[in-house]
Amino acid sequence: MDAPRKRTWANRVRAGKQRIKALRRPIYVVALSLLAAGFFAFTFTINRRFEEKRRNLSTYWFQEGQDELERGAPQNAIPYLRTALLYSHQNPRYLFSLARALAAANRVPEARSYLLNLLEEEPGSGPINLELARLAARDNDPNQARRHFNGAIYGAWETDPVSRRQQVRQELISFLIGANMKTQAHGELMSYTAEMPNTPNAQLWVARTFTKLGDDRNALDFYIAASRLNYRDVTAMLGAGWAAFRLGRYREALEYFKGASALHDDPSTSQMIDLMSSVIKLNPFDSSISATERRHRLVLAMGIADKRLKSCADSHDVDLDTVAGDPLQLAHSQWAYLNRQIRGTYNNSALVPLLAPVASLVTSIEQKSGCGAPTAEDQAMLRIYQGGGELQR
Amino acid sequence: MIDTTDIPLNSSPSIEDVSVPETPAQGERFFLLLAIFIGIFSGLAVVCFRITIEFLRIELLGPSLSPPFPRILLAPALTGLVVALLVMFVFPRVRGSGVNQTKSALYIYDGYIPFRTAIGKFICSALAIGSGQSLGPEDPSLQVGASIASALGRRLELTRERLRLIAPVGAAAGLAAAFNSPISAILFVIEEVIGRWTAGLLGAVVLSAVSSVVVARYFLGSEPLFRIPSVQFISPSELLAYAALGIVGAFASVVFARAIQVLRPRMKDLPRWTQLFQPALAGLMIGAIGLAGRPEVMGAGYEFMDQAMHDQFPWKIMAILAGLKILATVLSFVSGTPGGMFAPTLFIGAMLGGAVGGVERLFFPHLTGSIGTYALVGIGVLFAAFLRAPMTSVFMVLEVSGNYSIILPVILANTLAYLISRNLQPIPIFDLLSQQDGLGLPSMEEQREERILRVEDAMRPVDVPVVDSQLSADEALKLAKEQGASEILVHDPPFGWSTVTVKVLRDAVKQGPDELTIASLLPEPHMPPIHPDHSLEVALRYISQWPFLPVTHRADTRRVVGLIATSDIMKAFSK
Repeated sequence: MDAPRKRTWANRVRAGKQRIKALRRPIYVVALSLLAAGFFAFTFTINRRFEEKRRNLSTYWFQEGQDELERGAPQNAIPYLRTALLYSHQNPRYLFSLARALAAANRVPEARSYLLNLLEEEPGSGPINLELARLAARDNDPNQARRHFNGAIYGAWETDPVSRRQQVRQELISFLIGANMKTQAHGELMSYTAEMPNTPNAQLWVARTFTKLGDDRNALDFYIAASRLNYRDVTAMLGAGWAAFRLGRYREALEYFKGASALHDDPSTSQMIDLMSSVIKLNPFDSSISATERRHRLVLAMGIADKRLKSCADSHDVDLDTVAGDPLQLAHSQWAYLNRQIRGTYNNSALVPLLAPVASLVTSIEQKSGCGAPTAEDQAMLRIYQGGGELQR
Repeated sequence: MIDTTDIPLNSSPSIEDVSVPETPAQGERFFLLLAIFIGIFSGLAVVCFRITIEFLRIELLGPSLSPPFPRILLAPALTGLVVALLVMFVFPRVRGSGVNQTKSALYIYDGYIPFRTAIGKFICSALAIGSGQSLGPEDPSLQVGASIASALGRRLELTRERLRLIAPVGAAAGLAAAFNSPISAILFVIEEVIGRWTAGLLGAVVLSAVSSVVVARYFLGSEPLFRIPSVQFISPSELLAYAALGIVGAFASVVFARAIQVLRPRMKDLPRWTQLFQPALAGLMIGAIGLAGRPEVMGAGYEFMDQAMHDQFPWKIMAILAGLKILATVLSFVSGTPGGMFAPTLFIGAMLGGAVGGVERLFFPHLTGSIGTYALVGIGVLFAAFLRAPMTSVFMVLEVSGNYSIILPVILANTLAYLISRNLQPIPIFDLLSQQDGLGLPSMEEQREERILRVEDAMRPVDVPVVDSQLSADEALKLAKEQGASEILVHDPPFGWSTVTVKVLRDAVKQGPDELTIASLLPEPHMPPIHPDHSLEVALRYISQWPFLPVTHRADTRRVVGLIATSDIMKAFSK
């Protein structure tokens, strides 16, 4: 009875072993999965701890670098920022700071290399474009500079984007003026006026920039706007006075100079007030004056020009009564001819055509060199007649 | 150096006797699944390895980018002493880079790599690299991966054949995780470790490499080891400049390899006690280089490669760094300090590329693109010339840059560098090291370039009568007698080709009916189809059953273009 029973047990054991063998692959897979999970958890833990250490180190070194940058020592900041990057390889903030430090330390190619790399990852970044624009401006590369300035203007800014874009446009305009690209600068300035803040400073900056670009008409408008926003702004008043003066709007100029003088009495402003008064008094181009007054002003102008001509002739030892081909003698004969014409004319329709030749003659006489220091009257004459011979409204 | 004591030669650790019969498909599936696990384990191990190296660097050299004095001298020297003690008394098999050890496992030890080697390699390499020795973590990662694979394979009772193949699977996983570039790792293992494309192994290698990279990227991020600059290739004329880079790179790689070739055996021949101090001395000298103002040569140096790629060094400094790195790496490597040569090779390549780019920009500003592009191509150049892995070198540059526009400069420079280096230094570095260690590992370069002898190289013209099987035996016999042949070749459509001897024909004619055709006399089976482009190995497989084989045209199998016999094959082999 025992033998069949033993066989049964042996069979059972053998069958069990076979079953275990058949299951060994799934068991291996489960065991490997558990082992992998354990290893993963271990790696996760040490990685997290080490990441924290790296983060702390990178923050520390970055702060050191920033401190050096703020102290104005970019050379010292560079190794600190590089060390910060060692612990935070791709941190764009650190990379940007390093690029700025390199740029500040005059290591332009290195700075540009980092910035271009950053730009590749963030092509619409305002700050990166601005830094690149500054580097290009430093390298006198107006095309690249304009490209990046525009990238910065239309790019993304994290904080206060409107004001940052306005600042960038201001910087671009200044760069274009510096690079003697006045037409482009004028275009940018016009764009800027469309979005500029309505503050006295901004209006004043625009007015001054228009002045630099020779656009006195716009400059006057913005000086006036600035002085309206701040009634006590002497600079705006003076700027308006000068702009109006250059535009030939002498009465307006006189008012602005008087306004400036009332706010802050200054000898040069008083001098301008005197000059304006003289100019207004001597200006024959004013369309509102009568024929008698115009004739009188022209006669006065011819008298001042004659004095200047004689002073020149004395200085150059030229006899004005003879005609030997000297430019002063020729001017004198022209003067004599025009003088006769003016003195024999009494109506406006005949006097107005004389304005242009008188302006030309007076300007040429007043501009002659080596004739001694010009008097206030001479300066006024030059201001009045230099503009040409048109009537002013 | 590979210590072969207590490693079983052609050991068979598998326990096939207890294995339950399984279908090949089941075995294949399990092997692929195991490859994924190997990838995961290798990836995790490499992450731990990288963290350990960086942790040790911070602790030993300090957290600053430029280590302060006296740490800069003491850390590599004292750690070198500790590493030497560990290598001599605890982990004797961890010297060197790890590539040849993995090849040994594949070709000599049936895939056996002791797990202790993985632990030893991990500890010693991390200490060495972390303390500033001029070595890299990639080759050790490769060996750690291979060791993990080998240990898993043994534990899971794989067959001997699979166990032998498992080390390269782990190696690919380890290298892929270390490089963060799966394609380059797969190619390198195929090019340098396995030496051939094996369909059965490729799937497992790819799976393990991909899974390890996924794991590594989860922890370390998907960024490459260095940030790749904006790559520019301005005009085709610039190829001349890249050609110059290829030439310079080739000469630098030859200097590097020759220095190792000459110094390594001399250092090994010194009394054994000196080996205790060799890593320390190497560390001291590297520390001295660092103290002298060039700490960039210490450690793997990826952060400085990054700087080189971003135009952060003048060309003169890059040229100096390339030279000093060769010196530092030679010192570290010949002293027996465990660690890899990949990272130093990349470093030297990047610096050399940057220097060449800088010089060219100086003299031909219209010719050159960005310095970063030159540094990137330089990496590939050194990889091709020094490590002699031309295909990997091209794909590695493309993979890390993610930019295919530089493929032309890369191919040109790498090919030039590879060809010049091969001429000047015929033995590749890994073969050189295995020869110095007394190992007969196969040379992958030789294998790649070995000429395969084909049937067309051995076949002779048809010198026997060729007849159709429907011909009568009588006529066939007459034909054979006319040509003095002892045998005739018979075309028997649709079965193919066969032969019949004159004796058989004569007997058939004597005994058989008059109208007997040759078809009834042909022996079975028919001859296998052999074509001129078949390798001689294929022909050899069949030749023993027949006195000769007809070589038929592939486009028309009825046309015999030649005959091949055993004697013809032997003659071709002996040429």
